[in-house]
Amino acid sequence: MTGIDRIRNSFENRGGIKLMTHVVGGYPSPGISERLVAAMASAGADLVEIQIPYSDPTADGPSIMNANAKARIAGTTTDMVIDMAGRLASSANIPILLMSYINPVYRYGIERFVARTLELGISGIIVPDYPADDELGLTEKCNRAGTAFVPLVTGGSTEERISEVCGASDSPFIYAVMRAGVTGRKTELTDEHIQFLEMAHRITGKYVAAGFGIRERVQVETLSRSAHCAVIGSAVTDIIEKEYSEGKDPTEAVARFIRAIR
Amino acid sequence: MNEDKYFGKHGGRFIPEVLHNAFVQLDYSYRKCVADENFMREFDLLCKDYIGRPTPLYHARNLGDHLGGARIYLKMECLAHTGAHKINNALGQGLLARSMGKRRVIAETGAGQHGIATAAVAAMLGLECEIFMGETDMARQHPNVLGMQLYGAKVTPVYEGSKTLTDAVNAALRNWTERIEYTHYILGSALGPHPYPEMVRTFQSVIGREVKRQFMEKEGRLPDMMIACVGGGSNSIGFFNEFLEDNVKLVGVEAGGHSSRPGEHAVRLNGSGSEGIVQGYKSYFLQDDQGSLLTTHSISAGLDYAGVGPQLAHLHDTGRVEFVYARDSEVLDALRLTARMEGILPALESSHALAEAFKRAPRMQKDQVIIVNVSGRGDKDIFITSPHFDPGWKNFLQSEISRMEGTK
Repeated sequence: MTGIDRIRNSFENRGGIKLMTHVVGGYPSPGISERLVAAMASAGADLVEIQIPYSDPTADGPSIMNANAKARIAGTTTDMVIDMAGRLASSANIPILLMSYINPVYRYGIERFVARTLELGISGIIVPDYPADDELGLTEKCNRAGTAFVPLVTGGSTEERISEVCGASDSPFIYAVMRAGVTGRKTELTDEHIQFLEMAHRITGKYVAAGFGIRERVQVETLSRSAHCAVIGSAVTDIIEKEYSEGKDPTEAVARFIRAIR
Repeated sequence: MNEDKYFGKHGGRFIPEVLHNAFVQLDYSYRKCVADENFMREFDLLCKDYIGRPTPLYHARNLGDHLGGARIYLKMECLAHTGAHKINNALGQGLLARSMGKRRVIAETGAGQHGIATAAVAAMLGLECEIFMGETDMARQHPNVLGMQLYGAKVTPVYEGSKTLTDAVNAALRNWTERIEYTHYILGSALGPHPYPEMVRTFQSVIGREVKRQFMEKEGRLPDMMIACVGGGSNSIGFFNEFLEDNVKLVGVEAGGHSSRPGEHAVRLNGSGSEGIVQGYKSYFLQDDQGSLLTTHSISAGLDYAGVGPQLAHLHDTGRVEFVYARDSEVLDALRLTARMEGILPALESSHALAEAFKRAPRMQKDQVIIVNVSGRGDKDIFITSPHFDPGWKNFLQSEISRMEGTK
């Protein structure tokens, strides 16, 4: 079964809106970040994206920037995160995705990076600063490996642009960015968001995951009218930061949060 | 691969989707404006009346006599309004922002010169202005911060990373993604996603065009060598662009910092940098083996940057421009010599280029000419240079504080 198949199955399984959670690999420590993903899967996350830490995460807000910096200080490498994602892909019963800015992927080698996802059973990748022109052939290589290259679309995108961005990828789902700016700050969901999500689904025929500023159960409920998946990143990172800075293991609090929002 | 976004293998446009529309508009408006006679006439007029162009090309006879060998000319960008070449591009992009109907401009700044230039232009054109500046740079270039604030700009400190230019670019990009509809980002270096490298070069190439005309008038020929400092590359590409097809030796000088150890310099083009895609463009970057940027050091905030403009990276690959570096100590010596010999106080950035010229001139012939781009003036650096030059500096600062407290 390819990564694309695993993701499609996950979306086809059970009813109701799916939940994709996010961790920065190596944060707050390599061991804890791995246990966090396992705990997320047990608590009801349907997919998890694991971010490769990077010096210049320009699409991320303060929480995730801070997590990137700490993971780097702890010595987390791209290989460590890929290996961890690979272990989780075989142990957790849900699709595991890698999220990275383009430079760590470029530095690792595009071919090698995609080959590793295939080899380790990592289902997909998300690259927020890699535009649809696919100048490095990343989307195409993912398609050939059966790995989902998840396209990002935003509210300002025209229908034409959305088809252009999503047409090249075989990913069963797209990531809809719910507002301009960086991750973190809560997004006030309006009818416009709902219409945008419906439009994105209609144009692409793909499942739609909605993210950026999703922090509460009531937002997830609102999204369930038109999105197939809610993405939660900074809200979880904030819990991890708070618990860990108080000397606690954050996995239990994170699992509680996911069960409550589910 | 879309050829016109690239210089050889460098350049391109690697942006988050949220910026896509802004770049479509920017591409369109930039091409329309530079093809529009009225736009260019206004730009030229303000270059003359507001910036004070053309800036002089000065024959530095004393330096030439002192060093022996080649004659030295200085392109006096330090005499441009706000004290550096940065204003050429800030004016061009400020006019562009206005013609796009944007009421707000933002910019990153390292040394503060681009921030000052942008703040001044924004004040003149009646645009709102916010400048992002690393906390480290704010501390070491405080006089420029005050200047920006006097021009009505909001100066926002950046606390992330090494708190220098790279982080200021990230902060500006983040801010831009939130306020695209009414904000234009005036990027100050010839780098970033297409069309910035080309656009900044276009507005800065006035420097080289003037040099060619001025030198032709004075000597009736082309110079033998041209030297400029290279941070991101805006002054050097503006200085070199007109001469790329000519038989003139072009030399770029990077910031050698304290040493060649990682984190102690900003030399990207002697093999320390490697190919990467950072801040929206492909070029050479000082990075670790994981693809994260390394911290850099330079005595001059304006050269303290881990990447280099894509066109310069390409000119390095082809060998058209030779890249060398100057250490902090050589830079201070060059600054002192220029001040002493010519009564000209160059910026620390520009002093890198002077340091290289002073090494080369004595090895050249009397009938040869080196033109150095003095991209900025050195008043802004007084808090960095004075501790090196003036043993009484600390006492002076202490007495200033006492005086201020006494007059409270």
